Amino acid sequence: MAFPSFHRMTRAVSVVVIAVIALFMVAPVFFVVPVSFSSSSLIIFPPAGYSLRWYEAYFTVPEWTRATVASLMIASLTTVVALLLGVPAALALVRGNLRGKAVLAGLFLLPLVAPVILIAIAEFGLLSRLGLIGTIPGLVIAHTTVAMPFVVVVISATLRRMDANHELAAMSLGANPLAAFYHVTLPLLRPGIIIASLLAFIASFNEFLITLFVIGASEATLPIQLWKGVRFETNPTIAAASTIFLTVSSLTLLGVEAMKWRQRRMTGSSGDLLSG
Amino acid sequence: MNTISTGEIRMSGITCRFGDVVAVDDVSLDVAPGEFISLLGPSGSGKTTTLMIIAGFQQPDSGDVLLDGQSIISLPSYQRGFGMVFQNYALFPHMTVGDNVRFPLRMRGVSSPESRDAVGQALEMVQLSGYLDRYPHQLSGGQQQRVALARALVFRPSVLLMDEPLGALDKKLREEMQLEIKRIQKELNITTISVTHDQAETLVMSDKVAVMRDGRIEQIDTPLDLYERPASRFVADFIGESNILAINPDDQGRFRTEDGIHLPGTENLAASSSGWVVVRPEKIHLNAEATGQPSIPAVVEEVIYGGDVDRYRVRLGKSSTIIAKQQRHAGNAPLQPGASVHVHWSDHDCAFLRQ
Repeated sequence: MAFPSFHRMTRAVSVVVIAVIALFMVAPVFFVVPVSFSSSSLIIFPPAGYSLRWYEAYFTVPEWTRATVASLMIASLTTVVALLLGVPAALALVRGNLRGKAVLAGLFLLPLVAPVILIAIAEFGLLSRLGLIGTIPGLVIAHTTVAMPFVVVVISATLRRMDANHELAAMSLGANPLAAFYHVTLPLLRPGIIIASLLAFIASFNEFLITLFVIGASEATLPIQLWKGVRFETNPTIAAASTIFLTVSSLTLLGVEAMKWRQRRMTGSSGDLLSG
Repeated sequence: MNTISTGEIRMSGITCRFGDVVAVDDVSLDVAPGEFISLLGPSGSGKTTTLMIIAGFQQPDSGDVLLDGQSIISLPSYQRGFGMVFQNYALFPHMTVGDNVRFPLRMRGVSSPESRDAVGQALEMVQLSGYLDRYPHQLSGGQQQRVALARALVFRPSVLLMDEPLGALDKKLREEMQLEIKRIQKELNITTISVTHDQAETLVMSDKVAVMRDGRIEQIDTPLDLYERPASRFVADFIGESNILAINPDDQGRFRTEDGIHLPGTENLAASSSGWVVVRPEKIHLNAEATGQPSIPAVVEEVIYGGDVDRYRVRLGKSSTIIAKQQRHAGNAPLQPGASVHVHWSDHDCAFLRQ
């Protein structure tokens, strides 16, 4: 380079800028971690002493454990339903021979861009008419609305990157369409399906606003319980819950990255599933 | 599927449209058992669509495909029992070489000891015996091509279909695989229909070549006849290198080019219409002195050195130039640019095409 010192300087500046941005975005989130290990019953930063009492509280107070179990169950069910609907939808959008594909694709992605409050109001209207407010099926339906677009996006991208000739080859070798799907398409979709499941799971696990509208008087989910905790009883249990919550979400995202890395290594391609 | 099929394919009156575009236009084609036919043409000529119709991946708008005299047009691809090699091989990336080759046997419910033998034989045939446990991405392009071939042949199909089988290989490997595929095809005596845009490839591999253009078969012949006796200007131009000279009959019925040159080999033409004379560059003799045979005086314009062969651009009249190829023999000095030469060719080395 003609100006090595200039080059080095811009590089140093950009590193600093990125570090500052990261700090501002992430630091408040990680503020809760030390607080959760506090020995005091007040939320003070930094904590005066350390203990595991708030984790103990989290794991023994029934509201928290029930909320966590409810969240895990609803997220799991939502993931299954979103996959069952989203994978065939992506197959139809990419491989299908139907009119108005672009419009359909747009409709499937609408929940990603529509204001969440609108979806929440609509879901409330729909589910109260069906009498499903405050029920597990009702919550799963509501969560599927926001989880399915992730499945459609990821699976569509995976299918688009996949050579359609693989399926034709399977059929030319004697596989009927079902066998071709089971033996060839599905295994090739597997990394995409894992990424889609993790994203769908996290979309449901993190979902708050829509849940607030449709949960009625039933058991809280973890985000709802956190909200209640902040409103009604401010002690570090919410910090412990938040830390656990944060850990689950981060691990899930880490899983997504690991899958993408594995996929790239397997196929030797540098394409990104989510941007493809 | 009928396992004692002879592999005789008959296509009759196949037409296939995509919207307003007629991709295949009333194509009829007979392929004898054990014959190797290439569908050759530029992109958009309908050759791939024709192959997809035979494979069962594309339904034609009209026409029929017969195997051993029986219509298979309503059979889905997976019941036709044809082996197929795809352009980029379409090997299953999540399966080993062994599992790829075993796949068609698995789909047919062949027992495992039997399929193990068949897979072993198929891989031996393509000289990849030790590669059972490799994954496709660990193989070179040529090796992947061989696996695709083994997979398409392991279940002893009566017909082998190939879509640009060598398109992804470099020139040297392509020439090697041409001979390899030809050897295997003859050994198994399997009816083969191959799609390609590479005319050199078809001349080496095929028993017959169907040249396609705009959804129609322009000419179907042996490689030799196609090369020596092209039926149309398009074929003459598409297959190999050609000198194509427009000629018209004069008042005495003698054929002359636009600048009035009488060409050798046109004396006995009975035709009275205009057309073209086609002469291959290697059939043209250039002599420094007149030999007594009918010849045209000409001037060497350019000499292009090509190793074993020299190519000369020779000017005949005001507007016509032709390309002549001459082998470099021991002791014959190459002609120099500007040299006067006498050009001649034999009657049977030129073809006349009516307009």
